Amino acid sequence: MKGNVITITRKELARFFSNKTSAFVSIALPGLLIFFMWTFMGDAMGSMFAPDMGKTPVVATVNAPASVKAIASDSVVKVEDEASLPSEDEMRERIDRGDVQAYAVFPEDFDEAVAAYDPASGAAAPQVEIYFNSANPDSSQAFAMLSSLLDSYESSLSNRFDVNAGAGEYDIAEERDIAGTFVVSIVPLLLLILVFTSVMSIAAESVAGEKERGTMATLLATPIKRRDIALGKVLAITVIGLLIALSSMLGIFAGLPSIMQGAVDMNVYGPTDYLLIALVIFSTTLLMVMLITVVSTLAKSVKEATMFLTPLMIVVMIVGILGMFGEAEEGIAFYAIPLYNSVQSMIGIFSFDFQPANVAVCVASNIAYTAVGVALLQRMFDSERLMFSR
Amino acid sequence: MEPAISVRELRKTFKLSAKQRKIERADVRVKTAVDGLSFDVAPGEIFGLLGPNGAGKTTTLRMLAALIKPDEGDAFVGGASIVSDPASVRARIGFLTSELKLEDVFSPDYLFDFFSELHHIEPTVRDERKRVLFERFGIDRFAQTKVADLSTGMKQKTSLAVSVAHDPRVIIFDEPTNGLDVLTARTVTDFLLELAAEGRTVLLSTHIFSLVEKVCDRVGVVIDGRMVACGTLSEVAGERSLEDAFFDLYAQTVGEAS
Repeated sequence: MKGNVITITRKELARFFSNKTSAFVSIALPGLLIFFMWTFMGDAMGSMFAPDMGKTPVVATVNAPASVKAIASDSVVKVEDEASLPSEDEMRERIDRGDVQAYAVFPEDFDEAVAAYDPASGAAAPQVEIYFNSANPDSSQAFAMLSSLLDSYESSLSNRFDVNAGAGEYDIAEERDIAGTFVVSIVPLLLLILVFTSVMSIAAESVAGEKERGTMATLLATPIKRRDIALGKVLAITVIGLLIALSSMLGIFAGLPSIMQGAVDMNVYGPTDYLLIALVIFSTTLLMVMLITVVSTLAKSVKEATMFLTPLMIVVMIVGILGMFGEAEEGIAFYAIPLYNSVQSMIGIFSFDFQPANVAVCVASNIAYTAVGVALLQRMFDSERLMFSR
Repeated sequence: MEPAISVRELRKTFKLSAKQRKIERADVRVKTAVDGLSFDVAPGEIFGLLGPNGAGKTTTLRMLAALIKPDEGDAFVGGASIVSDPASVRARIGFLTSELKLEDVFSPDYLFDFFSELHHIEPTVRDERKRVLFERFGIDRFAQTKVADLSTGMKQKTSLAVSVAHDPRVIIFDEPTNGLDVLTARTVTDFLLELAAEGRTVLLSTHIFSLVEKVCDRVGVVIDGRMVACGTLSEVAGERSLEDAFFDLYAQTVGEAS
C-alpha cells in the first residue's frame, strides 16, 4: 500500500514539475512578486502619500497681522502676503503647481480684535480661515503646520498650563505593538488567498483534470486501491501546497518592512513566534489542500472544479478580512472553527497576545479536519458516479 | 477446461440525471445498460462483443475490468471474482479502451515504468519486457518523446504496450481500432492475433463487422443490454454475412421490444 501511494505521489510531483514554468509560477512567483513589488514600489508608494519634508510650506495670507508674521518668521512656514483670496479653482491650480501650499484669511485688524476679545462676553471670536487641498500631501502638511502655529499662538495669549511640552517621548507604544498592528491587518488575508488560489489550480488539474482528460480511468484500471490513488494525489498536492505556503510566507515577511516604509521591523518576532506561525500556516495549508481536493473530486472538469471552488474562495477571503479588524478571540472554542481559527491564531501571535493552548487547538483541529477530509476523499474515489462521470 | 472469463447474469443500471432524461427523451429515472448478460470465453480464444452504440458493450467490459461494480450477477476473470476480488481481476488483465488516455506530459518510457511499478514488476523483468514491446511497436524511436508530441497512432501503440506491460493472460479491449488510421488499425489486429497465438485470452467489443470476421473465434451479439446471439461466426451468421445476420437480429430484437 505504502509503495503504491509513493508511486502515485512521485508521478503527481513529476507531472507538476515537468512544466518548469508552471512550477515556478505556482510556487516561487507569488512570494517573489510580493517581495519585489513591495521592495521596489514601497518607496514610490510611500512618496505618493508623504509630503516633501525638504520643502518649506508657503502660505499665502490675506490681512496677515504683524504678530503672526513674527511667529512664522521663527518657524518652518513661510508666509506671503496676498491682496485678496483667489477663487477655489485658482487656489487648487496654484497648490497643484506648488507655488503655494495653503491660503489663510485673517480679519482686518486681527491683533486689535484679539486683544479686545472677551471670552466671557459670549460674542463670536475673531475667525481665521485656512484653505488647503487635502488630496495634496504638501498642502495637508502646510495646513497642519499653520494650524499648530496658530494654536500655539492662541495658547500663549492666556497660557495657564502646557500639555506634553518639551521634547519628551510620550508615545509609549513599542515597536512590536506597531509591527503587530500592521502585520495582522495584512498577513492572514494575503497568506490565505495566495495559498488557496495557487493550490486551487493544482488540485483541480490533479483530480478533475485527470477525469476530464481520461487519464484517471487509466489509473483506476490498475490493481492499485483507489484510496491509495486518492492518498497519493493528496500527498503530492500537500507537498506543493507547503512549498507555496513557505514561499509566500518568506516573500511577505521579507517585503513587509519595505512596503511599510520602515514602520515595521520583523525582528520584533523571535524564533518561537515564527515557529508557531509556521505551524499555523502549514496546518492551514493541509486543511485547504484537503478542502480543495475534495471539492475538485466532485467536478467532471477543471472548469467545473474552478466553478465549485469559487464560493469556497469567497469564504476564505471573508475569513481572511476578519483579521483586519479587532483583536484575537479569547474563547478556546473559536480555535476549533476551520480557517477562522488560523486567522485568530495569526492575529494572536503577531500581536503578542495569544494563549498557547488556543494555538495548539488550532493546529490540532486543522490536522484532525484534514484527516477526516482525506478519509472522505478516499471514499469518494470509490464512487463510480464521481470517478466515471464525464 | 475452466473458462478464462465466465460471466453470469450481469446486470447494471444507471440513474439518469434530469439533463440525461431530457437528452434521451426518457421518462424513467433509471436506465438498464446491461440486462442479465451471461457468456464464457475459453482460454486462448478471441471473443468479440458486437453491438450498436449504447448496446451495453462498454459497460460490460468495464464491469469485467473491475472498474465498475455490477448491480447483480458476477463474473470470474482468471478465476477472480469482479465483485469480491476486483483488485486481483485488475492485476490479471490488460485493459485498453479508446477512452483511456495517457498523460501528455510523460514519455512512453516513463509511463511504461510507472504502470509496471503499479503492477509490482521487477525492474529487470520490466526492462526486458519494455525492450521487446517497444521494438515490436516501433516505440523505441520515440520512447523519450512526450505523449503530447506523438501522433494518434503512436499514442495508441504506446497505450497497447503499457496495457500489457505486466504480461497479462487475459486482455480486454474496448473498440480497439476505433478512430485509428488503417496502418495503426492493422498493427492492433495483428497484435490481437499474436496474443491469441501465445495462448492468451482476448475479449473485445466492436461495432466493426470486418474486425470480428477477421480475428474473432466466437462472437456475442449485444442489443439493448441483452445477449441476443452467441457462438462461432457460422453459428451466429449461418449462410449469411455477419452484417446481414446482425441486422436481422437487430430488427427482431427492437421489433420485440417495441
